[in-house]
Amino acid sequence: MELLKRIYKFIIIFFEEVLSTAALITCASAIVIQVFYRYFLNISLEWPFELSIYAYIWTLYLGAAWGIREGHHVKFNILYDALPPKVQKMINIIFNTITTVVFIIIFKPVWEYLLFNYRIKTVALKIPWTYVFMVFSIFLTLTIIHNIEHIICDIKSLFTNKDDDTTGDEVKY
Amino acid sequence: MITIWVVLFAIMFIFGYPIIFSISVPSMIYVILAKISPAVIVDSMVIGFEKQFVLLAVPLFILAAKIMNEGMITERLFSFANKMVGSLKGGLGHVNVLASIIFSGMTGSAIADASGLGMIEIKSMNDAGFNPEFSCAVTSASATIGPIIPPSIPMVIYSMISGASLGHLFIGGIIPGLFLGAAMMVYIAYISHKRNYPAGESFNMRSLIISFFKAFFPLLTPVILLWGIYGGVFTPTEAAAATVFYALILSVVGYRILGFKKLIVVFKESALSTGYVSAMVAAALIFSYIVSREQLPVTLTNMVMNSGIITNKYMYLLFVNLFLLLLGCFMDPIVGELIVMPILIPIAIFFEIDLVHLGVISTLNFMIGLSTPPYGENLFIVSAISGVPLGGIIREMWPFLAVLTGVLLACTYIPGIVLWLPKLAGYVP
Repeated sequence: MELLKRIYKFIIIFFEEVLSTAALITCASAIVIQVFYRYFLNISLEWPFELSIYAYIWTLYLGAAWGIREGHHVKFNILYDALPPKVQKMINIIFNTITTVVFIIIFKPVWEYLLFNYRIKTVALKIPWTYVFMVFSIFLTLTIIHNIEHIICDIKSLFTNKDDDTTGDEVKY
Repeated sequence: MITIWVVLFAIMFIFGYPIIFSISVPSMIYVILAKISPAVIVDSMVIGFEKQFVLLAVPLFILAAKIMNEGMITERLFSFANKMVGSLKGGLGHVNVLASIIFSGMTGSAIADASGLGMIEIKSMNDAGFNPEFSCAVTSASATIGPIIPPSIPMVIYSMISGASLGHLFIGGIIPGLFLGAAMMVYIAYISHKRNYPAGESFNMRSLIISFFKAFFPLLTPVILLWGIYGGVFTPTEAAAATVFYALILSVVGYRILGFKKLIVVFKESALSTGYVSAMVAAALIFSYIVSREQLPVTLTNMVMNSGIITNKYMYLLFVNLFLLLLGCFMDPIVGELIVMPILIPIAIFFEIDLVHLGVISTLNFMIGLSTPPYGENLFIVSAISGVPLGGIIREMWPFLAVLTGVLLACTYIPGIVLWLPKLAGYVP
């Protein structure tokens, strides 16, 4: 059980922190390479531009999933902060459930659509679209996982009757 | 269906559900209920990004700002600004504004300015005998300049929404930004005489030159950026990449402040920030798909036309200003931009308002919003790093807000302030 937990943690951190950072570095380096080639060597490369935009999409969705895990996302919190912790938790449970259900419903058609696009390849790198945009399905999966974690965390603290301030916004590993 | 969409969005938003979900989930429910193929979601939220290459500038500017804040570049700039205007009456107040102007030529977000420079600025002002509330207010107000003077993340997003040229938007922000700085300095001079704030160390040409050379390489950043964009050498995205590269060379090789471990931390933090800033953009793409599918801009334009109140572009600009200022009191700039601008822009086109002009004034509006209570992120940041309670800062903030709003109105009704430089750079309105 302990081992399973560690593997699980490893996978999540690999996707959200390691892979997103790697994608960001790739994105920035690709543009720098392109600028260098164009202005100093007078060669116009096509692939760095494409690589950078796809790396950006990967950074975006993996980073966003990471943000969901740590509760970093921007929200309108004037009213929310004024509510008692119990109400906050109930609101979170309801909304997280809605999101999870919606994401589960769209998961299958989205995945099928991505597979359907396998024959379309990117212009310069010739990578099938499925691989490039697969990150969206990974994002959906990670979000569903984190939302369920948040929901469980909130329900638990709602029933333990502790009136503390901790909401399930942040899942600590 | 449209009712469910609007109501669910409003409820989720008001009750503090993260923005990325409160704008995307109701839209997805709409797609499911309307029996549209969910392929639309992928098309707009993922594949749609392929065409928005201007957005690539977002992660790059985030990265550049983080590297500069970590790499001690801020301190060199502050010391240079101090040697330059510190000897004036109320010297450090002026230094604060000047340092923000220089720093804003390197970073694209007000938050980066307030948190990076703010620490040094507030501390040295307090040590010199300014009252802490005033120091915080100056810092919060001067950070507003950040996204007005290029580079600017809000302008990148505006450019994506409106299709206006990012390069021209950037150039259009230069004069309003300098104008803002000058207006604030006038107010600081006035208040310093009234409250008898101290002048800093006396002016010394030699130490100015020394501090100039110490700050020389960081000072080159805005020069490279502006020269590149203005001269048409770089696209804004490429300029952003060049800035990242230059900042890296400076702080890793030049000043040797950023080690490998710290560098990885900078990259990781930037990946996280990129994630939550850009995910809102992605969510807004599906949101605006529904907005245009329901033809909301058309409906609203008709409503505005038939209301008989807003009949010309001056009235409309006034309405936009008031509306955005009010919105800014409650909303994060990027969120506000993403939700509201797709609706305001078509009406502006109808009134033949120049989109670069509108872009600069809307950015200015949202930036003022960062310093307005009850929800002003700059205020929260300066309060957090200084430990001064919000109430006092807000009291000192009102005159600054009046100054900022004055500049805003000037830029709104004298389009030349915004459009003169872009026109020189070949912009045809």
